[in-house]
Amino acid sequence: MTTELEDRLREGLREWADRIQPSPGDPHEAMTRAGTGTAAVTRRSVALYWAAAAVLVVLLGAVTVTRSPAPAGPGTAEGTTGDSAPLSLAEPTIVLRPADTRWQVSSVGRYLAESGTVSHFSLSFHHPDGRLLMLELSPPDPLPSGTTMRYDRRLTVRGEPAVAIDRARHHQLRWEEAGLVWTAQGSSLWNLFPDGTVPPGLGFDLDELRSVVEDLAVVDRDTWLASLPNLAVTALGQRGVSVTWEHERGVTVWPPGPVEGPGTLVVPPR
Amino acid sequence: MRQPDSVIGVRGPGAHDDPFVTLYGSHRPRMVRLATLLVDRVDIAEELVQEAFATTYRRWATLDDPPAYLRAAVVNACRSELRRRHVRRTRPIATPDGAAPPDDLRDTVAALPERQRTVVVLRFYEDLPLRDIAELMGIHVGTAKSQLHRALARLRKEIHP
Repeated sequence: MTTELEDRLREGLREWADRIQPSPGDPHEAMTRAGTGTAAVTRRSVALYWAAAAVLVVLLGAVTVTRSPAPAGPGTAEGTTGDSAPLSLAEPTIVLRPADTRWQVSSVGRYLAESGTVSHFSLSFHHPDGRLLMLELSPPDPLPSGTTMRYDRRLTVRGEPAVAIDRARHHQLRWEEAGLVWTAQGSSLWNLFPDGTVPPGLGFDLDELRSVVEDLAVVDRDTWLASLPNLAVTALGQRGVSVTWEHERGVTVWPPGPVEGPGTLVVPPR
Repeated sequence: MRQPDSVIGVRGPGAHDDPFVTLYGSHRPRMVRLATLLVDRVDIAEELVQEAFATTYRRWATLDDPPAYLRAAVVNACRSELRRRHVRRTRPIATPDGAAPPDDLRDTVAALPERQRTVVVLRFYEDLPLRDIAELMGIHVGTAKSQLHRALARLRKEIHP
């Protein structure tokens, strides 16, 4: 038996859907993105592929040689460009070491799937001028995170092949490094104004985002914990739950599985 | 749409009879609409759907039911998008493309927790039975049922106070 509400939901959702006009789309772009469309790769494409690979090798070498080392601190075990030592998704020991030291960690989040395994980890940094760098780490399989978006450019980030996505005045970079998928963006969707635009000062241009991302460094656990605010360390000490520490909100936890509702505030902000 | 710089997987002329292309043509509009109902914005929905198609293509040879896999990939991608958004976002994202429905139904549905919203859209837009919804979302049928019950209770309160 259907109720009036259910009928209204059916009608309303269909009416809403009917008003949506998708763009034509391009199946070949999806095939290309899949990276496995080799059945139709032509001989010319193969030649181009190897030429591109050769150029990439040269570029990787150049990047590795010319990249300035990040300032080293006590106890530092730098893992920077091209480092392939696997990172723990539960404790990805990543710090931001730009020349401008006013960048600060503004949030951390560790999210558990219903199975209790870590599904993704987020880390963000803010600058007093309003810029925000958000980094999300997820397993290589794209399905659990679903973070991959249409890309507009292929490029090299931190010595790894990466894609860049232009998301209406802010950019997203995605690449694989140390056994994880890294997704960085210069401002976040939830900072959009209601009209879909990005507030002034929060958008990075692509070059700036690339530059800041190059300042991310993999360090040892002690150095990483020392880089975090005390409450963030407290948050990461919470086990068996999804947990976030945010500068404005304090430490919040959720049961494993989809993060729903406001969560339980464990430690208030201060 | 801008073509990527990659040369891997570039298809030549005559590949349009590929079953993937057929699936793309027949399912993409509905998948974009489904994703938009879940994530609000058409541009983001199109990106998520395109990635779901890429994933489907990547695994094509191993799939028994590509359309079902595609829908699961779209829904999973949308749920992930909503979860990431939910932690900080307190207001529904506006639709700059004018795709909003005529009344407050959209805002009310959009305000539901991610799991309830997904169940509602799959139940009342996709017309899926609860058992299929549960399987698609990786939850128990009882959980799907309780999520739907809670969602309807909340919607009833807000739409018909």
